Amino acid sequence: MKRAFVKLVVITLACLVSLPAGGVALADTGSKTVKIGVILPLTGPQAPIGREVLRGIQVAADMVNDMGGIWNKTKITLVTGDAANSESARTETERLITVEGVKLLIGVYSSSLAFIVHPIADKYNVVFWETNAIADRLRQMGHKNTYFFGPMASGWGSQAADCVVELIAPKLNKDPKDLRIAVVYQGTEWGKSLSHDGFIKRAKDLGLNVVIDAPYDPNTMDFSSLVLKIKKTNPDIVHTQNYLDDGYRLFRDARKNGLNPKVWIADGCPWAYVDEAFQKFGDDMNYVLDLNQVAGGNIWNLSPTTQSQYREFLDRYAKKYNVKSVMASSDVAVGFTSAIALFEYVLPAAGSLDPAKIAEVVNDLSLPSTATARPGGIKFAPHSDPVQAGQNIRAGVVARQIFNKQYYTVWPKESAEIEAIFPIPPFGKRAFDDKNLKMLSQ
Amino acid sequence: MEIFIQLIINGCLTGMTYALMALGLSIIFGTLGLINFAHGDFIMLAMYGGFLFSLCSGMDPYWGLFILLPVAFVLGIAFYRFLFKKLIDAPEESHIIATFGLSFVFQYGTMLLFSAEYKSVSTDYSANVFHIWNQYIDYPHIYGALAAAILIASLIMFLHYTNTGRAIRAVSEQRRGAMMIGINVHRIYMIAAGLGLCCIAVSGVSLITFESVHPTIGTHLNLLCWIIVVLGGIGSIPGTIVGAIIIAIMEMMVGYYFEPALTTFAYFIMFLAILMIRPSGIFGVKERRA
Repeated sequence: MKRAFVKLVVITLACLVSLPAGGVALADTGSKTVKIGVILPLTGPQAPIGREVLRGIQVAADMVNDMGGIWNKTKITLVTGDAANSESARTETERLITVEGVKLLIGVYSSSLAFIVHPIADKYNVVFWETNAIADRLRQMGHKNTYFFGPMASGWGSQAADCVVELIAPKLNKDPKDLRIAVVYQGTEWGKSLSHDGFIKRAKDLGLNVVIDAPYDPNTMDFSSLVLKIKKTNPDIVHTQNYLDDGYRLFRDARKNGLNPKVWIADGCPWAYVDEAFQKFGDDMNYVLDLNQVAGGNIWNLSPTTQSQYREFLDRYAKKYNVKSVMASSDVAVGFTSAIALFEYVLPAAGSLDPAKIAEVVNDLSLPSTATARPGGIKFAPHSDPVQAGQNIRAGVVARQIFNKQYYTVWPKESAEIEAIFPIPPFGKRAFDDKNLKMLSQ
Repeated sequence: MEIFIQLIINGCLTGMTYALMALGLSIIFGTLGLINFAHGDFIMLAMYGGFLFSLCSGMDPYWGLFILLPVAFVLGIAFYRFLFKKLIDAPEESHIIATFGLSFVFQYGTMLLFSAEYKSVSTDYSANVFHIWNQYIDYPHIYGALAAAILIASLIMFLHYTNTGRAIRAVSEQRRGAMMIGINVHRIYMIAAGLGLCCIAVSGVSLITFESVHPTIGTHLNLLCWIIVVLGGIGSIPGTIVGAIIIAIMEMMVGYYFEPALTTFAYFIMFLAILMIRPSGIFGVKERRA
């Protein structure tokens, strides 16, 4: 019995050790290299997201290395750590810093994981370049070496409320104050920051009518009761904020229970993976309005250099990972845009990974919206700012409407590719012919 | 009133799905006494089985049961021969550690094979809803409940009206007594393990018609199944069904009348309360094994 048990433990450990998750150098190492740590959820429920973000970061590093690298032909080598859960996030971050010796980390995407890894980076005086992690409170933790490239949750939610006033209400021919809005979100720090502290707060300021404020347990297997609760309020707009599992279940149960609002606004992950979402829901995915930090197919408002760089990224990504549709995921673009800004604008000017030099460069950085494929541009708040320390204050979101597995930017007006189409037909009647798209001139 | 009826209908249908998921655990734990913390991952594997069948054949995952059921039965026997048999008489900590290890192997193995992406199956009836008297009932859940009903009826018939079934019940109630009257206990354990995995195959195939599968989905399912089995009474099929329906209706009622964020919290509280009153579960008996 003992021998059998020992055998099993050995086999299990052997399988775990042979996995390609932690500590693998992903780039070829030349004679002069600089190690950059990437900490992301590469296994576990958030792995589909983490792996896409990693791909984006990898393509950014490849592009920079192929151009000769940074600092007099120094090539970037990415060293990965797997933040599958809270515990592995902690141990892998410690490993990257103390064993691998990295002096700069990029990641970690999820707000709940960021609360664990940011303090560790700060403890070792290592710079953390955060790709996403939008929960507001992360900016108020007093970490001196963390920079947030993406928007803050409350700002994101607040922009979603602006979108209701500027885009949706005119399309529905209604006074914004007459619209009945249901707000449904994960009862997590991320959910509360975006939907409650962002969307609902701004909606109240704008005089909008929020008929239900419904945080939920993301582990719920069946959302029918929540959907019936929302349905009872007879909403014109349903604003949802979810991760993958809960987002799919909520949408499934909305369809099952005949919840048919005039507009379905989606914040979060399921809507960033259109191939999977269409495989699951088919034409019922059409007309969904996805708020995201990456534009749709349009990049015409970027500078010519940024346009060609972004096209090269899409091309390399499709080839390297054999991806048929470059619209398949927005998270790869989140990874790329965050990393390329770091590799292109920050590190060459800093000349090293010294946190003080990086801080100096970041504080002086001021780039317009044409310089990055993320909406808004780049300008960081100083770490002395009590509310948004280290935050890219120009980071914003765009609204994209989904038709036949493609995203089309519809808001803000200056980035819009097509005319948004509302109200959306009920479930089962959402087949859409692309001929009906009204393209806007560039 | 209409909403209340809809909540009860949804609760019963979801409860039947939960019961289907927990039956395999109930049989394996009830008969072999094996604490299987990889149960949720076995369901995950069955979901991938249904997904692969549908992908390769283009047919409804339920048709895949003609292949998956014999495969599951043989796998159950193999797992019994090479792992469960060695664990049965070991201390309970060994069950937990070994099955946790198995769970990791399954999760990382499927991640290597299928990547971490979510996979799902779209059937002809995925979006179909049966609408009657202002009540919405979706076909995937109706078929799931039907599958559960057929499986439960077959199991009850098998356990009560066949010699092997009676032997399984005898072994689960009194192992030493069963040995004394000449029952080949290890053969019965082997059949019970095969049966348990067959139940898991049915639940996995049913789930894939309305849930996405990914390598770590089993972790949450595992916890849910354990709560249902312990709440209903270990090894009791009626207990598993009642426990599952109670949990599902509780989720619906708390989600609608109170707070959607408190559904899991609420059924844990109820679970603890029932165990304080009846530590062996609703249909459980105090002492089962010798």
